Amino acid sequence: MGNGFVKGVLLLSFADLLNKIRTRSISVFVIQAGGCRGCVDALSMALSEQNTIKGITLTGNPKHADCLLISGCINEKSKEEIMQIYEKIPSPKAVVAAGACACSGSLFRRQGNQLYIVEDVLPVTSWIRGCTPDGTEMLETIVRAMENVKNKQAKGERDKN
Amino acid sequence: MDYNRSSYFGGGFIMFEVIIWFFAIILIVPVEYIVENYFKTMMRGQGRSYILQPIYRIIKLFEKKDGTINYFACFFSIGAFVFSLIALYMTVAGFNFLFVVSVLSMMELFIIIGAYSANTFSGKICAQRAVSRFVVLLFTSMVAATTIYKTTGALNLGVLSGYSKSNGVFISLVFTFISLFVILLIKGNIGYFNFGISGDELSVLDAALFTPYSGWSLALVQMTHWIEIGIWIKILSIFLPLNEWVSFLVIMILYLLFLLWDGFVAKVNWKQSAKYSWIWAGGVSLLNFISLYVLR
Repeated sequence: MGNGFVKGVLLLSFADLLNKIRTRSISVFVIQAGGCRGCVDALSMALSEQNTIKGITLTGNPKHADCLLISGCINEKSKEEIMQIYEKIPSPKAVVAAGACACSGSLFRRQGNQLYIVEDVLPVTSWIRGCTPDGTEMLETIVRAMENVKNKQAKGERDKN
Repeated sequence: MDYNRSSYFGGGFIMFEVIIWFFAIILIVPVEYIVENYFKTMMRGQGRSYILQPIYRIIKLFEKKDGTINYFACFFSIGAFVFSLIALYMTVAGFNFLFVVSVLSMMELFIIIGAYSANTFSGKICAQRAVSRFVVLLFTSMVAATTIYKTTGALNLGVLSGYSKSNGVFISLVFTFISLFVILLIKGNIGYFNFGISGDELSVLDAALFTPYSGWSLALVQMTHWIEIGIWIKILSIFLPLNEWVSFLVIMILYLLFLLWDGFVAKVNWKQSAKYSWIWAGGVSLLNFISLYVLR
């Protein structure tokens, strides 16, 4: 550690430091749009395990949220609610589609119930495929999605300047 | 000896001590949450987080931006923050207990009006719950003030602090102490006293309940909340017959234990919380009132 750590700290710009802080405290707002709840359960299990990914918490308040994780298929009624919640989340924010239902419709595709996948409703940052996806993979994806959003935001600010 | 610190305005050492207390309380409550976070991280099944996560969360909130700016929410969050600082100063300077409670009430009203200002369904629900919590706080504070005055003949926190060291105030005001401690738990949204509108998360389980506060205004509300908790810990510490710093530490440890306990109890409906709060804060403070005014 020693020298490398000190050098690393000194070389970090203020923006990098803030970026680091942002990815170390990620509040996730989970929406179970419709399905078997397997994805949400896998996420809850992963959060309570002693794995290497830290700093992710669940929140029930969109004003605190950084990431919107949607699982299951979206119907006409839940579409409006999801869009309202998305608008309430202050930026920078990421949208993660978790599980086969949210990514592609899975079993429910072409059922004629006006079902949507997440991509039809919101701009998706990351997809987690699989039924049910692995919990640790979900945590990793959330962290990467937040990093992506921050990088895009930083790039946008640089371009503006 | 005059224990009233407010009479020593500008006077050397006492003023220095007041300043030390002022900044110590601002810093100590986040430290308490960091310690809680540390212990919870070590527990199985409680999730893993960085030790400084409570601080990271505040910094992160300062950076977040909404599409539209609600100027009312900004104004009321700044107002609440200023009033919390005034209340903190009054507490450490040893002002009258009722003065401190009135400034804290002003602070609470600012937060409630701010929550109501956006005229959204969720904001109104938050304001409604905050009012129901506020009523419990006011009632308990009034009853506590009468019992404290009956026992000690004073309400100045500076006087009470000195008085409790030489007299058995804690024994004769044990129910008042418990009721004020429950107020601290209500403010901290702990266990069965969680109304679901905390400055910590401002949320309820399974429902997206939020206020117009967002980004830096929400961060200010969060900091106001921390300062308020510090004020209540300081007020409670005057009951103990120990050195000021030691008694403050004792209350802090007690609060920390309840914070940890909170991780193991189920959340209850807010109406149930209101019922428990009335029983444990209002009801228990009345016990002391009855024992002092009726039975004696």
